[in-house]
Amino acid sequence: MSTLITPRAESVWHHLNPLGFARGLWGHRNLILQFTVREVQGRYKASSLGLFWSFLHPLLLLLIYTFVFGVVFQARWPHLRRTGDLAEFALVLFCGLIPFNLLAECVSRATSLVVTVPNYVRKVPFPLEVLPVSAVGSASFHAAMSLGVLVVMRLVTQGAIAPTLVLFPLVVMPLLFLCLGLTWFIASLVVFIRDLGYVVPLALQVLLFATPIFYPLDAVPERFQPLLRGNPLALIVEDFRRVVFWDLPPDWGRLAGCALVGATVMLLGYAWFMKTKRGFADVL
Amino acid sequence: MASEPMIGVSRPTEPAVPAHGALALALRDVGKAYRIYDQPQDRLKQMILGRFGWSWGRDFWALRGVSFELRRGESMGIIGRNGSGKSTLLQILAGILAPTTGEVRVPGRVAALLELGSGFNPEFTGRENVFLNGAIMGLGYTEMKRRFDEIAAFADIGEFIDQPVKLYSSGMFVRLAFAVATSVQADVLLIDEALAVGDVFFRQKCYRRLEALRDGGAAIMLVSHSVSEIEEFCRRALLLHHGDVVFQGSAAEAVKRYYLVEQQERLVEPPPAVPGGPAPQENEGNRLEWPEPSAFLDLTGVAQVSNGWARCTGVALCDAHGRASHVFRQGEPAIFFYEVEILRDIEAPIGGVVIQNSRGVIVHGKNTLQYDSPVPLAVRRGARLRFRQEVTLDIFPDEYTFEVGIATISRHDYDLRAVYAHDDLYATVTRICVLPAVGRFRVLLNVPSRPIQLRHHGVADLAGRCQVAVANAG
Repeated sequence: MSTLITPRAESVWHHLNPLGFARGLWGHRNLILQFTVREVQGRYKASSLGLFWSFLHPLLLLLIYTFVFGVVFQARWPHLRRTGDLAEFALVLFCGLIPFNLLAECVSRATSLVVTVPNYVRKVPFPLEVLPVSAVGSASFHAAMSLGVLVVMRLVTQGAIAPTLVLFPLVVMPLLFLCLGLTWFIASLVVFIRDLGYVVPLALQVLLFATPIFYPLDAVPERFQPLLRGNPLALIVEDFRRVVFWDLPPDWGRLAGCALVGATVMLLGYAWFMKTKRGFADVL
Repeated sequence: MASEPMIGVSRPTEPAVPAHGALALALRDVGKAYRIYDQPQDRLKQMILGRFGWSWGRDFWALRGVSFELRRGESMGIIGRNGSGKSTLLQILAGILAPTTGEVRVPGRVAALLELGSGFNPEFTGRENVFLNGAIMGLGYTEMKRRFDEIAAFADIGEFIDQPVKLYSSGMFVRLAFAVATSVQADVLLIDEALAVGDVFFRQKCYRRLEALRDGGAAIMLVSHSVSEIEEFCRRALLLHHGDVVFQGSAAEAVKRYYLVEQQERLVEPPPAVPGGPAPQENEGNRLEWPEPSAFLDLTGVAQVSNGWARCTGVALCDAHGRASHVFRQGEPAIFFYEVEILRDIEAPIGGVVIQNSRGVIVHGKNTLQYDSPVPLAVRRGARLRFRQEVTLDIFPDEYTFEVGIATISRHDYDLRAVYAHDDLYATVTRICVLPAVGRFRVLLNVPSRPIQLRHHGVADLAGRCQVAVANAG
């Protein structure tokens, strides 16, 4: 376990190496697991309703969205089996919200991940890259719970479970890559540019409407379609809905493209974080 | 040779791994500079665009040119004023800060205790934090489980171990943090002033454990503001001042130099000695019983830590008959003679001797202020002061070292010495020459001895008596 501490930082290429990346994170798997578990527990440890909030939070939001878009705006979803069925509309919305909430939670947590633990930066030799991983891990846990709720609700209202649900892990992969990469990137950037903490919530609001959650992608006018298709989250949400709700397999070509983009973002985000890590202690 | 029984006595143990053991820590020209920027954005600009030659901000060197090697079983202290770079050095060794220059080689596991509960999450219980800190140091759940009972026993916080850490007092914090840091069997242990918070019993417990770890082969680096603790625990020390290494070597000497450095900063020029001062006392020096020149110790290899106002010209240790000796029997008087040449006009001089045992514990130190010896109130440059100090050695048979120190105090403060609080009085004293570890002597049992051979336990044989009577039953 010999260590050599030098002023020369490792080059960026060193961090971009996928094997090094996998090895590094695997080495910290114990810490990642502990932190993820604690984060999930910790969120509701102090509250009396506890883990129940995990269910309640998305459900409440869903109710509001359904009311506003379904009842007030009377929006229509072209592909619905039974047009005008509010319950089905709600489920479709819920389905799109799950991946979005996962990303939104990760990204907004990223703005406080490193800056709220100056102790871990300055006083303890801590592998800070572990923090975004556990943030994504705990967000995934809540997303999984929401998914469970969705499946049960569909079972109750429509009496069916999508057989394509088994393909779900494949669809969620690109999303996880994307979340990890963005979290690493933003968590690091916020340390140096604190204002980012204000930009992110705004960007998320924009993303909420720029992603086809409250409407299908096809409903978007032709000239805007390429713009929306450029949003990887849009494609992920579409595939998500296909697999979980429409009982269809995902668009494999599109999925592969998303996976590639996601993996690239992940590696780049990781490399950025590792390279800038050295500067944290000087700032915080 | 008189035998030295070991009943009820803990002898200083030799380290299991010799001091010339394997390398635990090696530093070469380590330095740390902080770039200070006028705006936070400049920092990011520097990081990305700095390679093109542009630069923003200016450098502040917190640490410069530190090089040393530490072997297994060795302990080194780092002392210096606030802002001298002590914590920076430990942070670099712990792997938290990247050095700007130089390199550090650590072949083993490092455990660092740098700030009170720094690795602790306030919302979680002590138990959970133990596992968390273990994970941070690279130890898995099962490994920490094995050590958990021992950690809880040392920390001694009872049922609070299952309470959130935010409820802990600072003493409980440090007990738990120390217990965790010292139970992971690290090869190098770094401790930064974390022990200052505990009470005296806790500190004793900690030092005992540190000693055990050191004997087991761990290398320990200690930063403390309590220089006496550094002097007692560490054999070597590093003295830092504004980021530079002022001295590196024996802990005793480093501590003396620290006082000197600290003193330099608040020194006030003493007024010139009033001519025609108490002259009769000058001649008394010649009437003081003084040993033969051959009785004096060889001072050529002895370090003298001095600010230039005086120079020690002779030290001798004699028995009651005035013969040079380094072996005494318990209870006999030891007479210390020391002579100092004054190189600059001073007012009232102070001379004293400090005796330390083989473990570095200060057994007895007393100076002319404390004896209330009559002293001249002004000494001119070029004069020689002679001191004869007699100490009755009612101490345990052991090997002892002693140091000689000369200081001075202004006439005004000397006249008011009875009124001053202890700390305030010593703030007015100026140390002018100290010889750390100038000599050694041995104390043996006084045989034949009445009523029994071993007349007391522990370091000091204090005067007293014990009476026994039979009380009527019922």
